[in-house]
Amino acid sequence: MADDFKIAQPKQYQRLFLKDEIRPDGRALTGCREVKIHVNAVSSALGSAMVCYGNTRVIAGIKGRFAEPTINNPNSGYLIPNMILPMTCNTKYRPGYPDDAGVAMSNKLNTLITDITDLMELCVVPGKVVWSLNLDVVCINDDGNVLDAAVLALSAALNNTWLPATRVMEETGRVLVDPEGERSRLELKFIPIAVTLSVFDDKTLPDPSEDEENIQSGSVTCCIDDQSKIRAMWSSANLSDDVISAALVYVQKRASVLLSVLRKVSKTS
Amino acid sequence: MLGTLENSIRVRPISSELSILGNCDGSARVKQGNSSVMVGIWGPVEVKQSKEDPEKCVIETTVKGATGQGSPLDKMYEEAVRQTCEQVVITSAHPRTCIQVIVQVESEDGAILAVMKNALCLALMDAGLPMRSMFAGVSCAQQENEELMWDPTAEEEEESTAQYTFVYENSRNNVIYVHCTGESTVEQYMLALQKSRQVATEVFGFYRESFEKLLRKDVKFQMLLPPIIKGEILEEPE
Repeated sequence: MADDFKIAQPKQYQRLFLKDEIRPDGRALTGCREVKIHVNAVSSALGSAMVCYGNTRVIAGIKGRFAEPTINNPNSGYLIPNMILPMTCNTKYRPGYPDDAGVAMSNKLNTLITDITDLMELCVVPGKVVWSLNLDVVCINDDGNVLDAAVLALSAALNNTWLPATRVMEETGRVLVDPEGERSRLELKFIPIAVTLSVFDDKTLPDPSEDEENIQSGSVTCCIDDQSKIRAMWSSANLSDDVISAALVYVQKRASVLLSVLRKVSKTS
Repeated sequence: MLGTLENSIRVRPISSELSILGNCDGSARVKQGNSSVMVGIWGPVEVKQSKEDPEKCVIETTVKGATGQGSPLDKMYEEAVRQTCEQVVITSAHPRTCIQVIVQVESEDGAILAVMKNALCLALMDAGLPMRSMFAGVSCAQQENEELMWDPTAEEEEESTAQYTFVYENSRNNVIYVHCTGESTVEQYMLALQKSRQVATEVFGFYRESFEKLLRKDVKFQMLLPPIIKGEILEEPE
C-alpha cells in the first residue's frame, strides 16, 4: 500500500515524512548517507578510488599516456576529465551516445580541476612530450547525488596518483616508462569537496537520494576546498540570502568531515 | 538604463529587440557590449511520447555557440537554461506538452550566461507563457585585488580570479540560479551576491522600457501607456 502511494503521489509521500522531521530512508533532515572511500580500487590505473554514498557508487580512474604539448604551452601537460553515466547505472539513462547529464557533469568536473595541480609538473621532455592524464569517472550505480560522489572519487584518486619514472632512448629519442625508477607523487594545490543540498518545499535536504532528486524543486551544489575557499557553486533553486548563508555554513561543516575521511584513507594506503 | 547604480558598479550598454522571428511564438535578442544572444521559443507544442510528462510540460533546450561545432560547454548552458525555465515557467499549466527553447549565441565577449538569461526572460515574456516572476541575469568577475567588476568582457573574465553569474527573480528578490567558478571566500561570495542585486533591479527597469517600446506600436495599448513628448516619457500628474 505504501509503495502504491509513493508511486502515485511522491510529493505528498515525502511531505508526510518531513512533517515528522524524518526522511523516507530513515535519515534525520540534515543527515547524510554513509560515505565509504576505497583508494587504489583499480590496480592498472596510476591512481583510482571508489566512493559509495549509500547505494550510489562511483569509480574514478586515472590513466596516463604520453602526448605532444601545444605550441602555446610547450611545457604543460593535460588533465582530461570524463564523466561516464552508463545505461546500466539507472533506468533513466538510454543506450547510445553519451547522456547530456554526463557531458554537463564532465564540464563541471573540468572547471573544478583547472589549477588543481601545476601542469608544468607533467612535462617529460620540454616541447616534445608531456603526460596527458585521462580522469575517467564511471558511475556504477546512480541512487542520487552522483556529482558529489564523482568529485570525492576524483579528489581521492588524484590525491593518490603516482607518476612512473621515464627515460629517453638515446638513439631514437623515444620516451619510455621506466618500471624500476622511483615514482613521483602528483602534487595537488587543493582538494575540492562537493556538497549538494536538495530543495523541497522550504527545506534543504543534504545528500539527496534518487527519489528525492526526482521531486526536488531545485538543488545547490557547493564545492569547498581544504583551505575552506569556495571553488565552484551551481544552484538552480529559489533561495533567499539567509538560506544561502545557512547552507554555506552547513557545507563547510560537511566538507571538513568528508575531508578528514579522505585524508585518513590516503594515509593508510 | 535608469542610472541609479552605485558609482563603483559599471555595466556595459544593454539593448534588446523583441519579436524578431516570424515563425516563433516568442523571440528576443539582447546585446550587452559585444555579447549578443538571440532566443526563440515555441510552445506549448506536441511532445514525443517517450518524453511526455502527465504532470507538467517538458522543456527542451538547445544552445548553439557563435562559432564552430557544438562544444561540450553548450550542453552545460543547455542545462542552465532549462533549470531557469523550470523555476519560473508554470509548467503544471500545460501538462503533456513541450516548450522548445533555442538559444543562438551571435557574438561572445564575456558575461555570456547572463546575456542568455536576459534574452531568455524577454523571449518567454514575448511568447506570453505563464510565469511566476521575471528574472534577470548578472555576471561579475573578481579581480586579483579582490575588487568586483560587473558585466565583464571576455578579457576581464580571463584575468579574474573568480567568476559569478547570478539570476534573480523579482517577486521575492531571491536568487534562482548561481554559477560560480574560480577561488573565493564565503564573505566575498555573499558580498557579490548582495551587490549584484542592484544590477538586477536595473535590468528589470530595462525590461519594462523594452516592452513599452514594443507595445507602443500596438493601438490596443497606446491608451494605457503614458504619452511621449519629444522622446521623453512624462510623469503622471499626482
